[in-house]
Amino acid sequence: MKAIVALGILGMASLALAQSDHNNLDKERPLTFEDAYSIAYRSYELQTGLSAFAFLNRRPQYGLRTEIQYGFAKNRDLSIGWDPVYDSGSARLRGNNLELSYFEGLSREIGNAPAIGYRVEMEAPTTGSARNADVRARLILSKQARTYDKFHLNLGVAATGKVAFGAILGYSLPLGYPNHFDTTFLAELGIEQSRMDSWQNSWAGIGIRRQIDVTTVLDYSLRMRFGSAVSESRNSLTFTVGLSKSF
Amino acid sequence: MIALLGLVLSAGFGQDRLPPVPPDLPSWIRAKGMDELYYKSAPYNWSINRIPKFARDMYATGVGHSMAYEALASGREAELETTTFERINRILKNPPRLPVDEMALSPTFVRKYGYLEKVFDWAHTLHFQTIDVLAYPGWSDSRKEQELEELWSFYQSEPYALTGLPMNMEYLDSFPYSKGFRQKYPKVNGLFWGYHWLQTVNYDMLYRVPTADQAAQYEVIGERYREVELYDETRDFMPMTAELSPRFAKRFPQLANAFDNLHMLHDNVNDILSQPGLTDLQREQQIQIAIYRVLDSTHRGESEDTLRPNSLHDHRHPPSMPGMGMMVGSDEDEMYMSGMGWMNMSECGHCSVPMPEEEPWGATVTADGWTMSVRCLMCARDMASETPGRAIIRAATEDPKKLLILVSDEEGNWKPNLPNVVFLEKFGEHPDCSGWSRAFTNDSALKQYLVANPEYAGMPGLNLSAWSKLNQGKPDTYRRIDRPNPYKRGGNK
Repeated sequence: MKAIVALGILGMASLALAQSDHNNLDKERPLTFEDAYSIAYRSYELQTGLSAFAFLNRRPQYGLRTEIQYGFAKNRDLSIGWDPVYDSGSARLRGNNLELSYFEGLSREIGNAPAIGYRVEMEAPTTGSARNADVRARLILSKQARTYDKFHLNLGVAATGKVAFGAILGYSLPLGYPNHFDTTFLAELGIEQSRMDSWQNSWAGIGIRRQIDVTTVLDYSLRMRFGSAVSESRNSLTFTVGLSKSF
Repeated sequence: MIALLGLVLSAGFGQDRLPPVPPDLPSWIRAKGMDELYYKSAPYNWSINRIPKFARDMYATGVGHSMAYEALASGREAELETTTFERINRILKNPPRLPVDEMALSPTFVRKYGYLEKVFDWAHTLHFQTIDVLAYPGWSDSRKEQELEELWSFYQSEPYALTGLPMNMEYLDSFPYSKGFRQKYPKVNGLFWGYHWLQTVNYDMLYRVPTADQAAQYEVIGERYREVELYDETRDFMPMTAELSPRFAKRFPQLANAFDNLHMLHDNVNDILSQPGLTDLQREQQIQIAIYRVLDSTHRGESEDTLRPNSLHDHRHPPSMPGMGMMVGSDEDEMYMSGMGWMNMSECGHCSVPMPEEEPWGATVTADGWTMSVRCLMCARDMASETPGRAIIRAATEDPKKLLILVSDEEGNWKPNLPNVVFLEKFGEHPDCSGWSRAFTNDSALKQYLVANPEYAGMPGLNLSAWSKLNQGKPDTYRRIDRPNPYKRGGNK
């Protein structure tokens, strides 16, 4: 546990040296959903987040997710991410997989049509304790709701030998307009098909993205998992705090 | 088909003089991507924050632009001069501490005119990065000048780049919808021109000025911006970069022209969005045409020598000022400046003697919302003393790397950036004033000058207190250009 906290502090300190934007919503920062827009062309973004997973019937786990994104073309970015998890019950660090991801924004919002983007992710195992390799794809639609708030629909499919589907309805609302312009409130409802083909994985979450300087966004969230294919993960809570820095 | 439909609708609107859609409209205008661009990666980025009040005022200009555009795009123009003005004004009085995502503040506008936002956003990035370069303490003046050239090339590498050629402002402001916004919405138009005043006056505040001496000037400029320029409904035409930052505009004409072309595009868009009777399609087409007119790609291969007067391809400029297009009523170097009347840009604003071609370059005076170039310190001081309120003088010294910055209070007491500054002033003929009215960084530099110029031998050096008490009055060489305001009925126009 000390090792993972130290890694987190180190990650966040290095970020302080390197324009993330609280309005531009990235996956896992801090909720699962994302909007239909890529990061800016020519920008790099380093994202890191510490998560604490609390369970009813077992000791907590701690995760450190780190991801670097690169806007290699207009409306397109590539990213590589890693999220090792420390299990305090077994005192073991699980390496998990390395995620390689490609995002493309197909269209911005034009007239009444939503913005459309998609993401394709592949996972490569890093250690023997890593999960099985996955290929996932996600279709993302973002649409203005009233004035400044937006809905974001993420429809996903994962293939790990078997195909599983999922959907997340995300919502973003800038807070403080028209007097302040640095904070966005987020909420999501998600459901995904487990490998046993039943819709057992479901969750809800709320979060905040707050601009703390011109290139840095602080985020935090609380997610509750209602159903899970893994019985001990049911009714678990996840608290996440993270930082994104562009350069 | 769209063009034909537009033609039919424009006939219905009764303004068949609306410009037609050009056949070579760039394809990116119809592209669906957001195309968000990152600024040039560099150590100077966000150096604007070294002058916090300036940075916050600049960030608030983005909010002001966005809120007005959102009101116009969402059919709330009736509340523009009341509710929207008040809302914007509240932000201007309590400006944000961080830059604001303009697209997040104007979602309806961006859904309708996303291609226009790309042009605005990219040009605003150029505005900010130019400021960042000039406010960066880590580089010499020459390195900054080199970087501004590179920044210009970087800017031009995108299709949304505006032309750096001078454009004929009279032509660009001559369409059936032109001038409507400023007449119908004078308060919000005043805000727009106020933002553009700030976005153009700042470059001489920063250019070749030691970074330690930049913030003090903003005390004067910021006060003027917040108290007068934002609420000025009497200005005849939008502020021009060369009008407010003449030294910068002369050195970087491509940047000055691009900023003026951007600000004219803002005026065109305001006029189109507020023009009653246009259909949505007509608005969209006219905005696309307005963009097309000022794009770099539209004028590729052309130069300042392209002589097609009063047309889209009129790139003439006043002979002494490459960083400005021709204005209403302009004649060679003479132009009409709001608040100052007719001026000749090749001459000293105080004594009308031609500006020197060689070093020392003279000085600039910023006061009462204008900036003028003058030949010497004496002209600078006496011109500032004729003007009520605070003033800034930026003047050459014997050391090209050390600029003298004098900032006055309301009573005309000057505060210098060079603690040992010493002045030479031996009143004589104005054409020679750059020889006998000068500033030196210290006494020893003055002595060296007196040795090298025996005609001034024995002249005492004046300290700031003694120098500032002098006043030689209005020079007899001063020549007032007595022509009517071309923007008013009965003027040249």
